Amino acid sequence: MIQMYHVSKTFEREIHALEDINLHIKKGELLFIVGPSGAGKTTLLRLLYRDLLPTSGQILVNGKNVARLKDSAVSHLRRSMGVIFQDFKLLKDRTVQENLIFVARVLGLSGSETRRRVGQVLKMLGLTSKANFYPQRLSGGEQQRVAIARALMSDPLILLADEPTGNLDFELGLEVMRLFKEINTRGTTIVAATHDDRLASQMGWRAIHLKEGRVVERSA
Amino acid sequence: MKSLEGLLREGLRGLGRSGWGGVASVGTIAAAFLIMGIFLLLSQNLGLVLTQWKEQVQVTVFLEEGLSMDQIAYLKKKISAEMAVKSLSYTSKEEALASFKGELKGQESLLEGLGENPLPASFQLKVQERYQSPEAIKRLVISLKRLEGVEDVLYGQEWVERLNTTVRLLRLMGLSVGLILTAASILIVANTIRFSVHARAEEVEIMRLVGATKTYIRAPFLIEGLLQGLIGAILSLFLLFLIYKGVLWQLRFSPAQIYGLGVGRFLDPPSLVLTLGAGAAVGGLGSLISVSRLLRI
Ligand SMILES: Nc1ncnc2c1ncn2[C@@H]1O[C@H](COP(=O)(O)OP(=O)(O)O)[C@@H](O)[C@H]1O
Ligand SMILES: [Mg+2]
Repeated sequence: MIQMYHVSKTFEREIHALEDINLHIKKGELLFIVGPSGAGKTTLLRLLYRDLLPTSGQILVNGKNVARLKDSAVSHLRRSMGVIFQDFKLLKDRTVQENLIFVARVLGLSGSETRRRVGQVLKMLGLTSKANFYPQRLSGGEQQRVAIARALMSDPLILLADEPTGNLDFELGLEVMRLFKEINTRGTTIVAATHDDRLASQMGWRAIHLKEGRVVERSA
Repeated sequence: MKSLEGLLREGLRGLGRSGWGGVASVGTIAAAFLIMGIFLLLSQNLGLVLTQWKEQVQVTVFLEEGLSMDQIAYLKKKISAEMAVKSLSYTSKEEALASFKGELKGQESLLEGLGENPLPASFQLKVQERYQSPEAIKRLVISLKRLEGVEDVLYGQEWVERLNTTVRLLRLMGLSVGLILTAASILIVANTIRFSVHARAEEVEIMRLVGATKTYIRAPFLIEGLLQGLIGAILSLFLLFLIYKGVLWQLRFSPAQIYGLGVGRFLDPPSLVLTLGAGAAVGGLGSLISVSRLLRI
């Protein structure tokens, strides 16, 4: 489902965020990308939803070279993915529910589909009582759960999660991981970036370890 | 996808949010179109005067002194036979003097030293519409001059040509001033839309990342620009109409109006529609400049 061949990403001023990454992720897989801050995890995920283009190397998603997609195909690719951003990217002037509806509009859901789906994801993340809260009135952990709920709106084929438990305590983190497991069993491929070694080993999922832009360890 | 109504609502909301930027956009478009409209209206009305004048194109054939009645009757027949001549009337020496005296009104003393009547008899010709081109009139004049007993031929063509040049000059001026202002309007709309895009940067970024199509992201801004242009154009037409009415009021006792010449006409429906279309196009184009630079997938 996702293949990376000799992928490197260099930002201006010779910042080598990723170097010679080779990675194969099968459909329905659940993979951790583990590494300390600055290792290149966010950059790797951004390459996958084509927010960035690689400096060199090839990236295939669903068999398509993401560097060669037309604009319309890029939009289509992103709609098949759910992305949980490290900084959440919630709209401050909209309530939790309105943030979800905003995405439903982009996805082209009808009114009734929207209501149904918003209700579902709010329930899944335990946010039903917070539907009409503005993000600033929520705790960091609650905001993170809104970000997760939003990523699930499209019932995505691929879920890309950037530090999805970064603002949660360990117990709540495990809760979210169990939710991921459940989503995964329904067929969604999940790639989750984390700096938390402990969480990754606790769940016992496949993990690749990044350091300074290179893969330093692969665990099954 | 979004409904047209939803898009329009978003465009209007964006316009509302754009505040002074939106006012500046609408204002410059209105100013640009108003100036173009004034030139257009002037040239259109002068053109009207021109056609009315052309209808009355008169050629005056002055006769030599001392022609007999028979000679005059013969000349009349010869002139009437010209294809270009629609009608003709005869003015005798005495009639010419009488009407000249009438024009001098109270200054008849000027004529006292003249002694014998110096004014020639003449024919006034009206020219067929088909023969009102400068070339055809020149041909007519040449053949009239060849006739026995004709002293000279005068015609109003020079005036028509001069007015023609004026109309053309007005159009050119209106067009060039208008074009410069239109270019400025496009840039101002582009700038306003740039602010709008920046004001909504977060929303746009999220839309982009969750898979909105380029059209979905761009459409509200394009419509916002389009509306700015359209409102500017409507405003300019409104102001132009007020100016037009005001000028007519000022001219209400002028000889031109009393004689029914160039009573004035407002822009015709095709011009009105064209103006609105051009306004929308200017707004759309300005917005497109910013949108295609700032909103990429
Ligand atoms: N847009 C950018 N411009 C320049 N440097 C960047 C940019 N994004 C990330 N980097 C650099 O690339 C490296 C990897 O960053 P990142 O992928 O965010 O790491 P992680 O998510 O693992 O913390 C860091 O050194 C970071 O400073
Ligand atoms: Mg990161």
